[in-house]
Parts: sequence; structure tokens; C-alpha cells
Amino acid sequence: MDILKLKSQIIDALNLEEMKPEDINDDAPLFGPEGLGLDSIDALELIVLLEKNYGIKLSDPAQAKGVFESVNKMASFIEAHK
Amino acid sequence: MIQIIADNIISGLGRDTAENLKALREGRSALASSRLFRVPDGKEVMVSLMGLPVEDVPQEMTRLEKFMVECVSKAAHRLDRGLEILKDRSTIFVFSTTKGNVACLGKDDAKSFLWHSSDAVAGYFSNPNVPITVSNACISGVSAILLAKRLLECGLYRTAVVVGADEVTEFTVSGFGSLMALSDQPCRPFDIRRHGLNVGEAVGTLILRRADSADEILRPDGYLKTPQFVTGGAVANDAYHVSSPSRTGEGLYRAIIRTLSVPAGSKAGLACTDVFVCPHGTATLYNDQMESVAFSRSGLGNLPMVPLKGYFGHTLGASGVIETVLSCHFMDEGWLPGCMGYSEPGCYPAPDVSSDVRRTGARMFIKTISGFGGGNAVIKVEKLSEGMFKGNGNLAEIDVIDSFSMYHEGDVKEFLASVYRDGNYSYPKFHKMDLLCKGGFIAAEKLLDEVCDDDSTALVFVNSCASVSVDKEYQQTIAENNFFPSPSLFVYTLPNIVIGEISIRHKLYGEGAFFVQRDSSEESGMKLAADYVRCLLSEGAAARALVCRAECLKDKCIIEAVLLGPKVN
Repeated sequence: MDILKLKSQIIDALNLEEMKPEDINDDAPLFGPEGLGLDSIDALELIVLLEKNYGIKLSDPAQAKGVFESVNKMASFIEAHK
Repeated sequence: MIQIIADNIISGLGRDTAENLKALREGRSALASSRLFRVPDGKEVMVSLMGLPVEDVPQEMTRLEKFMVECVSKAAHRLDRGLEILKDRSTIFVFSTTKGNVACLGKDDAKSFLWHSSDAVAGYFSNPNVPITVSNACISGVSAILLAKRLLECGLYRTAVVVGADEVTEFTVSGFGSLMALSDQPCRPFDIRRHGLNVGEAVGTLILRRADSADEILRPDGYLKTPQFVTGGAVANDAYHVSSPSRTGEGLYRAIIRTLSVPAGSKAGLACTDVFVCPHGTATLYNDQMESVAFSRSGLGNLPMVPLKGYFGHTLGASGVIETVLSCHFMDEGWLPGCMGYSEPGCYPAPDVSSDVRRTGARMFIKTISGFGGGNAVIKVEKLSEGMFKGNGNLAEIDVIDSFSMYHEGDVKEFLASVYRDGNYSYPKFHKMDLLCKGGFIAAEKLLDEVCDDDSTALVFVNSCASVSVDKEYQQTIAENNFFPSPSLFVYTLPNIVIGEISIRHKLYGEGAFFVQRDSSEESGMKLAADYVRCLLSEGAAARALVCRAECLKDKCIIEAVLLGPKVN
């Protein structure tokens, strides 16, 4: 799993213009005030990212909460479902 | 007083208002499964469609425009010399649409501009005035009726023809799908098992006319037995989020209490025998819950509710118009249809929704609507009663308090980013916005305090290109063999999102309107915006307004903004 690539895909998909892949901590929460400050539309955009780049469908939005906890969580989910 | 003098509805349930009412009486819904429109999960989608348009209109008109012509003709024919009234200089056409001819995008781009349909339809009826196009996302229909009422009340016109129209396209269906807002079953407003909305299409026409005294009230043959009047209304923003409704129902609560002239913090004391409510009731989890909270806070929780989405789906720019028209007839005929799809309360505090037909002796109804961009619009309609006529106010004079403009040709994205950097604004969300929002955001930074926290500042935007740059970007995400509709791009395809972004940034809970006009310049579009501000100030609906012309294309940008307030002598 190429973590750096995943991070740049996230930056692209969410228009995090002022961020570089190395600014995103692997284990830091993506959502909420301590993380990247992402919101509900960002979560939906990450669902599109998974499908578009990895062919993984996440049809239950409730599942998203766990999957998008951090970049590491996302990476292991992708590994497990490829 | 602003009287409702004629109407018509075209939907999947019929091509005039009577056919639609008959279907509701018989408990029929227009919703059906379709494979015509792709959605992200590849399933069938539940929609309501209008069928085929009439053919005895100019062939260069689009499908939607043909339906609009048919709908306006049918409404006008209810009136004595109706077609003559449409031609009169004192008559204004007000259109409400979210995406208009978006089906033409990429095929016949010139027709896809929102003002195109308005110009074509008003032109067809030989109306000499520049038509107004309101594009406030889902609240457009009620916004348009309220705008028309205000223009008439201030004496700018005598008659207004309000036309709400939207069709079901892959563009909108895939967009709502990407937001996971669609239900693949018929929607269930306010029900415990609701899990999303259905997109529908319809066209509605409502003709309004000013009567300055009881002698001027019209009584068209076979129309409402007791004349009805639009007697109030308000628009308010949640200042919370551009696509999620406020958990506290803030904007809707404020729009309701302003419509009913109830002081902030108090509840309306209305009797359930006298008033009913036609809510938005899309059947998404968050919308219906938000409405329930706002109704309870404002004291409407005890009033009978008539959600109509189970019959038509969410007809977007048409919904506010057709649901108001139907409510006029429910009040006239004294019955309320049951809520299709509802069986068990699913919101707290539960509003008074019923699946059964009910009788009503109501003399007033309240129509509410909420939508993307955090907008909420409310109007009230009342039957004729004693002492209704009060003098009309004078049209307020306005002055420019401050102004800001910027122009750029070349890379607009980079230009706006450099203005943002030079301004030292700290607002990371800026980078996620589309060009229109970025342009509007900067204008607001220049002219407003960082935190205003008021509901007396109106935001009035006008442009010609609506959100065409992001429309094209979104359309690329739904290409034939590369179908990954982007939820964030879809949200920005609604031009009024800029009003939501500014409201969130500056904590503004006031009036907002987005006009899409062929000519947005000072001579035309900006003049309309300034006239509307004069109406808002006259009514006391706002104390000042940020008016902004915002044309933001990839390679060209025009921002002309003014802060307007009352004239000081």
C-alpha cells in the first residue's frame, strides 16, 4: 500500500490546496477539530475516491466513520478489500 | 394586498391543477421506478416524470420550455383577457429553477444558461420586461413568490407571473445520489423508516396581482371561492453548513417567526383549526428532523401538516410553487390529503402528520421550504377577511455605504488565490470553494465585519453565468464510461451556495437571493438587485444589503459589490 500516493489522492479529491502529503500524519484523525477539519461532504468525496481509485464500494455511509478515522485505517481497509 | 388570481400545475399526475387535485383525492402518486437515469450504486431510481411536451410551440424551445409555455397559457386562460395581461408593461415574469436546461449542457451550451428559458418563455408571451430568474436551490419556488409579492407591494409592477420549473436529468439525479440522499423506494416524509428523497419534475404557475382596495379584488369565474392573498413571508439562512441543515432549525425558525411577526424567543399562538402548514418534508433523515425542531420552537408543532413529496417527489425549483398552489386549493375546498408514505412518527418532537385525508376550516396556511446553501423560505397565505387592507408603504431610498470591485482576465483561480493571500484571511475552507464562492467570499471580506451575527443584513447576488464553470466540471464526473459523480462539485453547481458560504463565515441569518439574468450589469441585473434591496428595506426585512455582481469563469472574472443602506438625508 503506497501511503504517500493515498495522501496525495486525498489532497486532490478534497482540494486541500495548502497541504502536502507529508503534512498529514498517518494516525491523526481526519475528521474533527484536531484533524484536517473535514466535514460530511468530504466523507462522501472519500467514498468516491475509494471507488474510483481502488474499485471499492462503500454503500453504507455508517461504515465510513471507522474507515476514514485516519490515513492508516483507510490504507488497511483498502488492503483488506482489494 | 397581493391576491392570488390564477394558477396551473403540470406534473406526472396531470396537466392542470384540477387533474392534480383529483389524483391527490384518489391517493395516486406519480413516483415510479426508472432506469433512464444512472445513480452511483447502479440501482433503479424512483422518480416522477411529466411525459411529453405539447408540440404547438416553436420547435427551437427545449422540452422544459415547452412545458413552461403550456403551464403559463393554462393559468392565463383562467383570466379575462389573460393573454393581454401577460403582454402588459405592468406585468413581470419571475422564474424559479435550480438547473433549468442543464440537459443541454455540452450539447447546446447557449440554451443551458438559466436565463435562456426565462427569456424564451416571457418572449413567447410578448412581455416587454426583462424577466427575473431566481436560483436559490430548493427554496427557489417560495423565494420567487415572496420576491413577486414584494415587487408588487412596492408598486414596481401590478401583476406577477411566477413560474417554477425543473426537470429530472442525470445531472441532478446522480448528484443527489452522490450525496446519498436518494431513496430507491417511494419517499416517506416524517416517517420512522424514511431514508431519502425522490427527484421529480413539474412546472407550476401562480399569478399574483396587487389590489389596493377591496374594490380591486378580482373574482375569476370558477376559481377560488374566497379570494386568497399572500400576506407575509421571509427568507433566513442557517449560517451553519452549505449542504446539511442546522440541527436546531435555526434559519427555518427565524424565517417562520419573522413571517408571523412573532418576537424572537417566543412562539406563535395559532389554533390548529385555523391554520395548516405545508412543510418541505423531503424524507431525508436530517431535513425532516430539522423541520420538526423548527416547528416546535416556533409553535407550529400542533398544526396539521401536509407534506406532498410522496405524490410528486422533490420537484426542486417547481416544488415551492406547486405545493403553494395545491395548498391554496386545499384551503379553498376544506380538505387536506394524507401524507403518502407516512405511517409512524419518526421525528422528535413529532409534528402533526397524518396518512389520512382530513377536513379543515383553515383561513391561513404557511408554506415552508429549506435547501442547500442553508436557505429557508416561508410565506403565509390567507383568505379574505375584514380589515385586511392597510396602506402600502413608500419605496425606500438607498445609498451606497461602501463598494469593492475587481476584474481579471487570465487564470482566475490563481488570481483569486493571490487576493486571498494578500488579504491575510485565515479561512481554510476558501480553497474548497468554487470560483463563484471564492469571488463572493472576497467581496464580503472587503465589505463586512468578520462576525456580524445579525439577521438584518441581506445578501443579494446576480450574474449571468450562474455556476457554469463548476457545472461543466461536475458533468465530467458523470461521463459515459467514467461515472464517479462528485458530491462536493454537485453542491457547488447551485449558484446560491455563495450566499451560504458568506452567511456561515459572517454569521448572517438574514434574507438572501440569487438572480441569474442575461445582462448582470449596472443597467439591468444590478439595477434589479438594488430595486429588490429597496423593497426589503421598505418592508423592514433588512437594514442593509451586500449586493454583488459575480461573474467567475476560469479565464475571466468580474466582481462588483456594493454595501447598500437607507438614504440618510
